[in-house]
Amino acid sequence: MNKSRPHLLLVDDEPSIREPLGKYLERQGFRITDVADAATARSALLSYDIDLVLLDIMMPGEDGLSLCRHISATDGPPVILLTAKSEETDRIVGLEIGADDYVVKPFSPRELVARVKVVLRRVSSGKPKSDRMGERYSFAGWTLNSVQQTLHDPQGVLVPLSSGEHRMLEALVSRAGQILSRDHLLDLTRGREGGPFDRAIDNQVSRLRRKIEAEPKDPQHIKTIWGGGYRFSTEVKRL
Amino acid sequence: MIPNRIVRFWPRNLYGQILLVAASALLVAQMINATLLMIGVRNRAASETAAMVVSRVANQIERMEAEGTPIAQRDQWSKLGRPLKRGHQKRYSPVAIGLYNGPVIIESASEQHELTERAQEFLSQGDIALTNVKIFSAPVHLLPAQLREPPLRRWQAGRFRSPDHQKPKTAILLSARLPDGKWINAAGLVRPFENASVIALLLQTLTLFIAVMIPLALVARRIANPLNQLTASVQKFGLSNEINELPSAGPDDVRQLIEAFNAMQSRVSTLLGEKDVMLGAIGHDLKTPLAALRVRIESVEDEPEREKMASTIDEMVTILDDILTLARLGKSGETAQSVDLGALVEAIAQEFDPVEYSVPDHRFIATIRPVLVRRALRNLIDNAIIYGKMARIEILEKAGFIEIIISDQGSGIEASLIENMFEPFTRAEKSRSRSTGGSGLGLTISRAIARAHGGDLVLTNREEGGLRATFSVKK
Repeated sequence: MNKSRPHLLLVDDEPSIREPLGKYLERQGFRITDVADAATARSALLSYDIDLVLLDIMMPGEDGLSLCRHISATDGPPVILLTAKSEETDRIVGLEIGADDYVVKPFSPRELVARVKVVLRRVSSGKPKSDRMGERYSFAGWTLNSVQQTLHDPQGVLVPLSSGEHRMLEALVSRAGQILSRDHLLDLTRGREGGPFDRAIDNQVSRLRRKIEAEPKDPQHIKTIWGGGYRFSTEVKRL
Repeated sequence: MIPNRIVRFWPRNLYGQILLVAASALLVAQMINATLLMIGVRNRAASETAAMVVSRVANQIERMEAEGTPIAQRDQWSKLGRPLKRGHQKRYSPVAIGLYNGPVIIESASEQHELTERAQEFLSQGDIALTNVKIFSAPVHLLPAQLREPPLRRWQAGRFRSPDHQKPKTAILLSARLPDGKWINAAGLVRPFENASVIALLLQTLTLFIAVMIPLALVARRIANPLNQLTASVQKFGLSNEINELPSAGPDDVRQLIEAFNAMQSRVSTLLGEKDVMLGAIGHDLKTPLAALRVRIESVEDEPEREKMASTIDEMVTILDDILTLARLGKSGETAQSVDLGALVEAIAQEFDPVEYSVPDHRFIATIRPVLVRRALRNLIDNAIIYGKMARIEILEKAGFIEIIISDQGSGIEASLIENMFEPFTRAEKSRSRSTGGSGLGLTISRAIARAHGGDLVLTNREEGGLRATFSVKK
């Protein structure tokens, strides 16, 4: 985010949303190009240096998912999907085809701005998108999908996790073999809605152990390192 | 009222009822048949014996006449019971004849008027005029010895024995007055009813049963099976919107019913499909202006006012989402998968406070649609905390179902109102105020989700106070 005014491309077929939202975002210090369909959006992407795309999914003609797939495949700017559907499956599909985030209509414009800033900050700090998105891991027969936020046991049974537990397991699994201090874990697992406080780290770990360890008293996967923190000790494969 | 004893044996399904009614009707008919047959056999035996007795008497008188034995020589008569010519012995019947000074009278004997008439007619044709001819039917053991013993001896000698050695019980007694004032009395034994014919009757009944019941069973099955399939199909149709066309089978009436059902099913399914499309459109078309409104209110300077507007819009969206969820429950895009319900409950429990949940020591695995079940449980836990201060969650397995029980410490709900709580837009507080949030569809949705998983949602008041919600899913 080197430019003082990031350039957003707003793609929505509804003028009743596009126009007031464009004005609001301009007041918030963004430069806005707004278009009504995917075809115009494609040409706008070629003509301007777009920093982020706000993309409506339901559009006549080429829909938002298709355009999102195109942007992601051509290594274009980050995308935040605007979706009218709240069904979880639709959100997951959006994330899986390479969107960076999504908001469900009707959204609070303030929240949208906050999300835009988070995504822009991440992009400018050079963190690759894949660090957060689209990863699947397997360990000892278990599989963890970080987009769908699902954990399946070796028999294929879904073991639901709270979002806190999920972030914790993902932090541990994606850094298998490293010793992670409680502070570091706190940093890694602080979610959008504010993370757990220090003591909660230990609670999360013991909950996770109960779910994935055969013997929670004698953990094989998540080991406690005395004075250090925790380490995921089982071999992890990225899928 | 029909007594319980009978009700217990009364089959409840069509197949059983048809078979039971047919079998009972056959049995009654056969019993009447058997009775009629036995009466017929008995009458025939009596008239056969009477014919024998009459013809023997006529024969005897004829012989006496021919041999010129004076009627008055009564010594001869005592021997008349025996045949005069040995060669004919075999054909002779067990009939005894004797000459008396009067008729043999037996108290319990009953006169057989029809037989008497026929005997009178027959005997009047002879040369010696017999008068006062009468025929009785009487028990054998009451006959005078002279009339009883010779035929019985002959009977026992085997010549006239019935195959199963039954002794005759009834005799036909004839008495008639000779012209000289003496009385001629004759007795013959009536062949008893033979067991052999009972066996024949049973065999006949059995044959009839087989001949009637087997085809009837086949026909009844042909009617009942398609009907049962139809029932199963109707039940399934209620649960999912999947169409499964039933093959039409059975007799025409049933076949037409099945075809009518298939047609109705596809009509209903088309309507449901249209409803889904329409609701989807309404959902989308309402959310777009709401989204526009949500953006526009940001230009309202008065912050408390803006917050109120925002929360009103959020409320509308919640209601809209709930309505859409309820309406499209059967068409949820989510696929069922096997899920550790204990972990699911634990994950949800972490979102709420105060919640009591003791983690079970083993796993409860069921095939469910996790997003829907999560939604149902969130509603229930949320209700418990709002209306009952806290939520205590237990999970257990019972008869093929997994039950998740959420109890609270509120004031419960008046028993008569509990069922009403599942009606859409019903709230525990009378005012229907929205102060506590929610759309008023929470319990309706939760129950629909439980039922879509083969289970149910039941609310009960706890004895120790508070409400208990039992959410079950089929394992």
